[in-house]
Amino acid sequence: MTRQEIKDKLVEIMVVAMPEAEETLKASTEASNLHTDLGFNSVGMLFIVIAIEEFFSIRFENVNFGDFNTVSDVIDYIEKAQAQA
Amino acid sequence: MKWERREARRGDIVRVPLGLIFHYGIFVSQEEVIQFGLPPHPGRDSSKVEVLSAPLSAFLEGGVLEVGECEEGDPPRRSPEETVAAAKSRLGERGYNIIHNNCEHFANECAFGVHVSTMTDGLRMKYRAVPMVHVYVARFPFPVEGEEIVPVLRREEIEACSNAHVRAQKYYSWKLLEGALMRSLGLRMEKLNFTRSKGGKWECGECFFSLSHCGDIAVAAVSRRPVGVDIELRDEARFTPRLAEKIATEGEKELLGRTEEGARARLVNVLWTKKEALFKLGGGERFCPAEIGTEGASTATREIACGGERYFVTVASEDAARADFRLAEGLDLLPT
Repeated sequence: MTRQEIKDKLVEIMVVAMPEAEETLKASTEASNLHTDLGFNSVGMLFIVIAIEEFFSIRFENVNFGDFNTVSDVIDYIEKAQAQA
Repeated sequence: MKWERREARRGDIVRVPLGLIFHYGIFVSQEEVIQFGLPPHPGRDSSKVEVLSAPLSAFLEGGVLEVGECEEGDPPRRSPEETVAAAKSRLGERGYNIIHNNCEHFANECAFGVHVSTMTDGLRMKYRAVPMVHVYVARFPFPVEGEEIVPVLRREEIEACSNAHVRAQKYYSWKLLEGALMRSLGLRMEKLNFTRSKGGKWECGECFFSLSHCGDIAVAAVSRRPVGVDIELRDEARFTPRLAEKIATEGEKELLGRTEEGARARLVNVLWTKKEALFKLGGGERFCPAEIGTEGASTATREIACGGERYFVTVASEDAARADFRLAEGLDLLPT
């Protein structure tokens, strides 16, 4: 998948996690901060990570709550995991 | 398991709320709660987290203690001594993973001998339960990633078509499906197990899909639940009220009778796509439109414009109300 396709899918997942913020999430950029710009809490982040595992068939190893600050951080992780698969 | 606010006893499984999540442990005494790391904080390096013993005050960090009580349906509970022994035997153990091996997994393993986290398992189930029907519509030819068709049997079928346009319709529908499976479900076609149903329809064990084509337009619907899709050209000369006599149920005929004359052909057109989509959803062997009622059926229809023509696309699925129509460039969704 291209980086843009990964981002589109990530936005889709984020909307499932927080449907009330659909407009904000669809307008997000790679630089958007997951916590301060988009408003994800710890459970929201956990949901996103699990949904990514489900969709991209990858397994998150050694993940910490503070590892992902921006949308770009998550896309980087997925790209790296896919390259290693 | 239900949770109560009471004093803990030796061998109890205990937890403390940390915002929206919980931290779990096994209570031994006021001075000894065995847990997989102390309550997590941002910036913690999970590779350094280990099973440790700490006083209750360090476990709670000012939070309120909750004690687990078994309920009907829970796995068999180990005795308090067995639970404490299991927890102590793991002191110093590492391998923490917030999703796959967290503090709740640890506590449940000690108390029940099962590797379960209601938190992460619940979120996973929530994601899997999200209703989704994605309907991809594209005009061909369109660029494809790799020309190969899998499985081989499908490729041979397509190659065997003597009519070049029919061959192209089947080829691009399958290619559209390939992209749809990847984009919507993260599934690689070459890893799926395709089979043929009794009625000759292609199926796979990992998800549900349905294909249709009309002219140069290919449609692929994908979902986690059964789905059927159909596309037809908007053609008032073909979808006449006379045709409706043959394909409509009594209820649909009544509806047509109540419909303004100028709108009847359109309605017949839409009814046809609904019936075909419902037929595909049901997986029957013989298409008998007059026997397929559309009233109350869970379908969603869109009108699409492309190259001067108009088409109706209907998807039938339990989740049709939430269907997401994804149109390629050059196609326009018309207002309903």
